[in-house]
Amino acid sequence: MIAETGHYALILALGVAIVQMLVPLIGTHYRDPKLTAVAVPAAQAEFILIGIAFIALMTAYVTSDFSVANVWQNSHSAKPLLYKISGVWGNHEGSMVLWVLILALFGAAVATFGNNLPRQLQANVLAVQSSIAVAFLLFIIITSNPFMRLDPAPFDGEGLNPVLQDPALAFHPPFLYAGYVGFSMAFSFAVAALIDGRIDAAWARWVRPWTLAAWMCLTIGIAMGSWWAYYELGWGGFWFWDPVENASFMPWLAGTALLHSALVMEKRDALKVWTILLAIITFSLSLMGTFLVRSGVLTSVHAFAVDPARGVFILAIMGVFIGGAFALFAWRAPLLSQGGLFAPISREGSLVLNNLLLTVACAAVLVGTLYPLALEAITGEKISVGAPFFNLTFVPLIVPLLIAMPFGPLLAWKRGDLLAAAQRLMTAAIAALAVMILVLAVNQHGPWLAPLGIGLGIWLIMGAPTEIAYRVKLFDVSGSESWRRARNLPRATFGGALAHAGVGVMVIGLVSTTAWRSERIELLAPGESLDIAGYDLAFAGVAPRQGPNYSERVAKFVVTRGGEPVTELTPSKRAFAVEKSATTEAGIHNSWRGDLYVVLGDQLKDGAYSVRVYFNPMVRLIWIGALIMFFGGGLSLSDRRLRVGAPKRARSKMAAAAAVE
Amino acid sequence: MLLWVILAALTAIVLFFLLRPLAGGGGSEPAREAFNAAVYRDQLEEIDSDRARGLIGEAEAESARLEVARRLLATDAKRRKAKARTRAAGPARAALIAVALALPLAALGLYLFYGSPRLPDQPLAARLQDPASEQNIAVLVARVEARLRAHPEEGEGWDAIAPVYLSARRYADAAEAYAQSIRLLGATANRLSGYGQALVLEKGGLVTEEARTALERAVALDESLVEPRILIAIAKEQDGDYAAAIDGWRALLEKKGADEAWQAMVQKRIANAEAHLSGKAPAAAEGAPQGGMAGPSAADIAAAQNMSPADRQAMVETMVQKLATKLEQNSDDLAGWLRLVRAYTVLDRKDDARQRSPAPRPSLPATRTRRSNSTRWPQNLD
Amino acid sequence: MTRKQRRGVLIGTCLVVLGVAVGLVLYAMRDSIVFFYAPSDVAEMQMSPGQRFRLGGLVETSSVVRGEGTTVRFVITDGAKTLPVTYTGVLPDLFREGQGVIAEGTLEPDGVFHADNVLAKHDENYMPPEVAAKLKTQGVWRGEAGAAAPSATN
Repeated sequence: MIAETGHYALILALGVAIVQMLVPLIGTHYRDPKLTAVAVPAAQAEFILIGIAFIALMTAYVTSDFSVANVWQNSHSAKPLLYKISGVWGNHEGSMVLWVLILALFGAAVATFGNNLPRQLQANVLAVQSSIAVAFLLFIIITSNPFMRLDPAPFDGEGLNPVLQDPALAFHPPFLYAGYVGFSMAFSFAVAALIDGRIDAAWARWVRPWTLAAWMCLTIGIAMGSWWAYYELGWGGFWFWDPVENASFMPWLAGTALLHSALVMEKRDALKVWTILLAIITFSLSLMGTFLVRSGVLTSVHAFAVDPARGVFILAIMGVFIGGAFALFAWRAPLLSQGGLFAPISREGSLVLNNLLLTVACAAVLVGTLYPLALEAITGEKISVGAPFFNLTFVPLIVPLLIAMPFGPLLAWKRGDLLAAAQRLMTAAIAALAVMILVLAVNQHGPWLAPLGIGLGIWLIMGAPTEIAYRVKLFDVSGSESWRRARNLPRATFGGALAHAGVGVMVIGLVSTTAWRSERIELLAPGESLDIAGYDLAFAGVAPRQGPNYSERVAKFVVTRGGEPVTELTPSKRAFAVEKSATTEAGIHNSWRGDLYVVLGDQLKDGAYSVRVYFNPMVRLIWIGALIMFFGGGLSLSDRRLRVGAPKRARSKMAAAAAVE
Repeated sequence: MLLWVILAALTAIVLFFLLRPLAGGGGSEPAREAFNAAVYRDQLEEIDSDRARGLIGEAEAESARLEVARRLLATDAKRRKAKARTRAAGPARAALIAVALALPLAALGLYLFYGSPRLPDQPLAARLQDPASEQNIAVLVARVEARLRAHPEEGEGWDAIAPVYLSARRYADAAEAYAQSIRLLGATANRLSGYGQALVLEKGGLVTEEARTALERAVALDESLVEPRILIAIAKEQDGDYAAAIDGWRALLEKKGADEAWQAMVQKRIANAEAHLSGKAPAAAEGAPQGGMAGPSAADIAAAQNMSPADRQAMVETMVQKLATKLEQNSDDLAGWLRLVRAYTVLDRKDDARQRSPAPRPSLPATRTRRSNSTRWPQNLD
Repeated sequence: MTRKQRRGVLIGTCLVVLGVAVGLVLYAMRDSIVFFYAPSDVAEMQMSPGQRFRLGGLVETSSVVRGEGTTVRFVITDGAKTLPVTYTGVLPDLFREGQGVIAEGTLEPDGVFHADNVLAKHDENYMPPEVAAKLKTQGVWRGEAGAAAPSATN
């Protein structure tokens, strides 16, 4: 009954979404406030109904109701509760339900907190948002229905894949989806503005916080995925330029650009058309990310042929929304008024450069991701575009952006003074140079570009305090005055600076790991030892151990450094008898210098084991950097000026204005 | 019934909230420009506060103020021009009726098409407790196992589960279960026969003394049993007592008549034994008569446990088919042989067994199970 | 600066960045793209030594030989042709005889494929899609049963 209620709620949600898509649009066309007013309760009802469906599905998972086919396929009675819950979105059908749930959540938020939006804009936004929901709900109900039942029910489920039972993996899809779907807000606002042929003043104020929230979720989602790959897959790598990774990275790049151009639009009323276009591009990439990953088309075009119904549906949805939005853009964009003017050297100018480099870098990634698909579809020839391609294209495009990054916040709006900004950045430049020379002196080996990369990271990190110092006029005014100013600084300023510093931290992690990683692959018999990056690893031997649903061979390594004991690492190889699969558990020792990463390989005939040992210097800075970026975004978001929903006084003022009408 | 009440209530609540704005009196909405003006005024205030905090210079603040003020003026001008237009209740009334009718009908229609309103929830915990919910073997096994763990002195449980173990090829478990049921409920021909078979199969076809005793007791209790007789004959072969084995086979043939499927195989065995007797043993017949015939793998069984009955039936049938073909090529496969005898019995396909010609497959019972096709969809990790 | 000049600067910058990007992409396309071949393709194509490509197929049964240190030799087959492969390093968890693999590396003049990377995926029934496609075209695909079995890899 719970399952069936969920099923019906999902179908009813589709009906409500259709109402929400059509009635408000008719309302804005005829200027009938009664019709437009339907949008608000419809958006709320849609969210609650999809919520009921989601909870019903989750209940089926938690209670192991294998009469629900989706549960049977993807869950198992022996799964720990955590993974029963995460199993809900660990599969195609369930993840689509989560997707529309988040979509409806954003719609409900606009409906509930959007009192300060012009009614027509709100109605149009909700109608567009709902049209996306209609497409997805149709897709779910017709081709990927999670509430299909089995009668009689099988006794136990099938889904007990051990590799996937991992907290980081379990919770990164919701973050990714919140990111993808969050960009739908920007998209809906953009399309609503195009339908209207005008951009309201509230537009950018609304789009920016939502984009920021989506960007934060996507940042943390990507970082979690990369972290999982790092410690679970046993290769010591953190980013593979895999198509699946690129699919989430492209919306991130475009979203980062959108974040910055929305800033220009809000503050200066400029770059309107471009921001609208960027909002469409970002969400299109999100759609592509969701679909390409889910459909399996990225690994092979042939995957499409496996299930034509879904494939065609996916193509249709992408065609309608991406194609439709671009067509609408081409048709209506000329109607939109151009905004404020600015000199090339100005805050706006620097943000344009940011946008330009980010979108072009994103385009390069897009080409690298889609080219193999296109080639296979056209010529049938199979190629793989891997890390070398992206290193050659993406890196040269993004490095100028990073170099220019500290300048941006130091330039004034409209017309900036590059020379003055450069002078202020002197300290940062000197610090970067000093570190560069130091690195060169200490580390003779490694690629010659590496010290430059480290210098770049320091430059970015130092850019942040430089900006704050400039804002509080440090050393120009008395200390107490600076302190007073610092306390008065809006949190968004700190947030932005923090996020930029996070990029610097990440760059240092990336560069040092890539340049100075040491790797040894050795045959070790118990009793032997090897040394890497100053550590001595004594191989004590391998012992079998029995886990709850696997048996493993656990190796023991006693790690010493200069004779001092450091730690014991116990990498293992697990064999899961029932699932007939094996996993590698790496032994990782973390210190401030970096990660010691040991993987146990196969046993050879003479009793020795092949052992792979990495030392990844400062690798954790990559994820720490992402976390800093996340918190920077959060700090920005908590700024009063960015808070969703107008400040109280604005609302009352508006009510007053309305009363005057 | 309760389900329909819930669904109706859900629909009614949703309709109520959805239609409320349409039914209400037509108030005019605040003009769009009012909102824009509010935003611009807010921005002006922001500039002032930024200026007061010293975040921006005076010149910058002044130019920004000018810009916003210009936008504010333009908005005000527009506001004056725009007339508040409110339409008559026409479209709203039409929309109200359309939504009130179409939404419940469409939802109900779609639900009846895709949903399974008659199916109750079947959470695992409830299914394990419910005494008569399922005839699913796996459920029964799990339930009986759980019960036996708690009450190991219940012979009926052991008695019920033993043949299930045997057919699941859990021979050691089967032997244990038969032993327990014999201990608690006493020996019957069937229990003894099962016990003997389990022992033999556990040993890979070697008929141990213990097994032989059990099998002989079984035959003594019930002459009509076939499986123990086969095994006893094989035991004699293994002892090298070919003459006695031939007697056993002959007796079997007489007993069951010539219409059984394995008649040809028995004949072959007799020929083998005779060959041994005459001292020109064919190499192929040497040794314990278990062949290289692999039963279903552990994976197959695991899969079978999760299948719907129709699928399982289909799987069993294909396996039986495979067995039959294999046995024709290799009559020495003991486990396969016994399995075949059992399988035909289980499938209730004596006719097929008798004729042995490729008869049309019995049509499967129509299944209500609908499986989504998602299993064929490659699902990536991300 | 006039409006026109401003626009000129903007458009100029865009063009320069775009030009650089296109140049980079074209350059990278020429140099860092790896083709995917099956042993039969390799036999047909007269591969020049030193050219990097990915070789996909099944690991031939009982062809895996451990050599010096962590060097492993094995043979990749697509049913029609075979190609010997040598690889130094730790093989992935699911590297097994009879399973699909992809090896990346170069074909050396000695006719042996020197792999520096061997991929197999974390799934028992996993067949790299490229391998499956190639094997299908070679007519030795036997995975239909496996594909039809409900195997949830998620």
